[in-house]
Amino acid sequence: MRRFFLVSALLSLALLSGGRPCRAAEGPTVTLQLDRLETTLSEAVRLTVEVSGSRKLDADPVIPGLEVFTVTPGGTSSRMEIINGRRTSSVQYNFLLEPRQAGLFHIGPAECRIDGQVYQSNVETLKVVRQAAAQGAERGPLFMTAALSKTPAYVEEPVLYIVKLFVRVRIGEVSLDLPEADHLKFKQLEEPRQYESGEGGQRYQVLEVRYLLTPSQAGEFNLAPARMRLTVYDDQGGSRRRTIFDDPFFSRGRPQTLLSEPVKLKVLPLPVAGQPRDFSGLIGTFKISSKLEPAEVQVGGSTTLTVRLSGRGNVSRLPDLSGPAPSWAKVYADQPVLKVETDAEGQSGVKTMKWALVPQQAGEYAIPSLGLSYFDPAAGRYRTLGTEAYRLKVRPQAAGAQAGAAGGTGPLGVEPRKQEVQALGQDILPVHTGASALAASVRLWPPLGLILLGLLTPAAIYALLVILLVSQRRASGSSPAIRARRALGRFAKTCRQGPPAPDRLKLAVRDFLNDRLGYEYGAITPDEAAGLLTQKSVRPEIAQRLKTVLERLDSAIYAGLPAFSPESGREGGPVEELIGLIRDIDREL
Amino acid sequence: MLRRLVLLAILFFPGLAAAAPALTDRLDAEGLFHQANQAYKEGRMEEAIQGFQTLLAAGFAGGHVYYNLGNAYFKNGQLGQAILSYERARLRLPRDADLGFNLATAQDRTLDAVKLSRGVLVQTFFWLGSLTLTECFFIFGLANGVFWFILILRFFFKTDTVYYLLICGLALWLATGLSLALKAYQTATDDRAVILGSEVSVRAGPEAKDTVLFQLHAGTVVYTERREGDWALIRLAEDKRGWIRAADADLIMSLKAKPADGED
Repeated sequence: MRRFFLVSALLSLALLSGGRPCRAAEGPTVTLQLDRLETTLSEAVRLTVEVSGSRKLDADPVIPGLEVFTVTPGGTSSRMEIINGRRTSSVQYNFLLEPRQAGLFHIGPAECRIDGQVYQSNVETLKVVRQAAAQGAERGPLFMTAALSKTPAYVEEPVLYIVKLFVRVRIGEVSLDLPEADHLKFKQLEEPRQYESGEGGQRYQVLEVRYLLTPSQAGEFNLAPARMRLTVYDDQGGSRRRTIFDDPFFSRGRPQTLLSEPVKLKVLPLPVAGQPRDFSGLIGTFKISSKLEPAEVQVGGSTTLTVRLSGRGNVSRLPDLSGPAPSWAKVYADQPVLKVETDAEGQSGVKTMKWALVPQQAGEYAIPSLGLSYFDPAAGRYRTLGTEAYRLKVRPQAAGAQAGAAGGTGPLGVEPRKQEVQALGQDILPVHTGASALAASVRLWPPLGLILLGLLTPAAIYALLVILLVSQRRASGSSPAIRARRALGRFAKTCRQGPPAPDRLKLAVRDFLNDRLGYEYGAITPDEAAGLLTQKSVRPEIAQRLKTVLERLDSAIYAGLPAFSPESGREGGPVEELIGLIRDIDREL
Repeated sequence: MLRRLVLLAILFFPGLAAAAPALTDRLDAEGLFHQANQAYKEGRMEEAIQGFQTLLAAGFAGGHVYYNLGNAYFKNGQLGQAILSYERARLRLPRDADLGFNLATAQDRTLDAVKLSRGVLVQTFFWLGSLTLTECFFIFGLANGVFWFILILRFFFKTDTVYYLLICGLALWLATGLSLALKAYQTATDDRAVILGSEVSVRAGPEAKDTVLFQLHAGTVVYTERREGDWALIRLAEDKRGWIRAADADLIMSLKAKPADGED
């Protein structure tokens, strides 16, 4: 029984593991795949080379048979799987192939070098056909058309070249290459338009771009197909809810090139017969209008003839008309103004020309019609338009016209028309006759004395003032040097004024030290005084003597003790002794 | 005492004596001026020219006399002399509107399309063209007085306001001083001359046999560089240069008017 359980368990394990033990895959295999086996010249094909059994190649695969394709690398991916205990690893190389010619092409075998050994893939065959089916039939989710608005056209007649892109898938990165041909000039008319349209029973988003095509030479032109490059993104199904990963940034795009149909344009020369002499090359449909304002003026007044040319066609050829040149008036022409506008149907323009006529004599005059010739391509013939012929009444100038002008507005309250002042003659102004003219502005150079006076006087005044102020300051003794020099004298003078009062003597000593040493002490102690003197290199015994004297004076002031010893007054008294001491200090300093 | 003052005045203002002829001369001058003007009005231009030139020679070299002389020359058909007189008048009356008009009218009649180039300094100090040297001096004298006055003021009041006034005064002093110096330099070195002959050949050298480089006509203003005998080296603005006979042109700033020789 026990043996039966053991066998059953082993059998179960064997069943779970597929009957095989878990092991690595066998030798590498290389597979080449195309996502379709038939394509058109405009559609790219995705080529995948998958190497199973290895995740690392010595070099990128070598794929023969791609000479007629434009190859765009589409990235590499690798993966590892364990299924039923079997571990497989693989690496995929993706390429996008854009066919450059139609035909049947063999692609492969791809050769991969792994650990020094070369492995080969299978070979695939791709059929490339020229273009999709004819118009009207189902043309797939993406196609392009190109058409001309008219053919044949005349030389220099603008023709519309319309390119339409029909789309039912998501696309991006669109660029358009127009066909190139000598004697044809393309000009984009406006920004591309987008709208929805039905085609072959399907709804398409249409992107339409319009160009103005102007031929400059007669002949038959075969316009090559317009080429549009774009990226088509994989459609994940229209019903599925769109997520952030539907954004082209996250989607895998396939570059695709679309070609339009070739187009033929026949350009006819302009007929020589019946060509007006004033024909300027203008082709299209045009109008001319004019006005003369005012229709009645005085001699010397001004009237304006305005002519307006407008229409649709090669408006840059709108001519500058030659204005009227009557003998009875002066004519002043304004600069013609041309305004060109572009719309979906081509170019339209308006040219405005103005002439101011200033009649020189009274009368009634005819202003002849001005003509415009152009070629009407719809009718296939030349046309000539003309302005209205006007009659201008010129009244003689009123006798009081000048007085009226000076008075301001005319009787109807209309401002008189301004006009350029015309020079009628040239002469010099008369001589000066006043006697004062004799004295005026005789000198070129001012006199030297005046120069010196003008330049030096203010400086001299300033210098005098400075000297004055300095001498005043010296006289007041406010200068520190002067104060120092006079300190001893002032001290002696103060001491000798009246009886020797201790407080006055002490203040006199303080003032002496302040003046002599340049200090501003309010009070000074005996120690401070002795210290100051010592700092100034006065002998210590002299400093000590001054200290003693100041201590005695303090005792006399604050304690009422006698300031001087009885024997101190023997030679001239205590005051003279103090003066002698200060003189010694002054000498030492 | 009075004599001393007079002597002192003459010492410091020597021009006074030269610029103001004696009173009797002035009466004569007024008479002459009137006569010349009368001759001009009656179309006797030679006589008018003679009268105005006599006044100038007598020291009455005012801008208006030069202006009248220019008019007389113009009416007499002497375009070069007219422009020369007008230019001399303009040195003394730079803002006179009549003078500007007549000079422009005369210049319209000249045949040579020559425009003298103006230096960078002249363009920068553009106001100098509208001022005479004397006016520049008086303006500087005023600025000088103001500057020193502020300096004296600063001696007594050391406030911020006076400090800033001093800075402004200094700037004014420098600007007017520089203007005066430049104007004095311009006046002293003015080497413009006016072509007097109706057609003057400009030659490659100071001899009649030298090649004729180009021709100038009456009224054209040129720069003179130097003289050699009877010949003068001239140049135009566009670097055309050559020799002409000295008699065919006259300096606008006549040698008599240069400061080295005193007043004209």
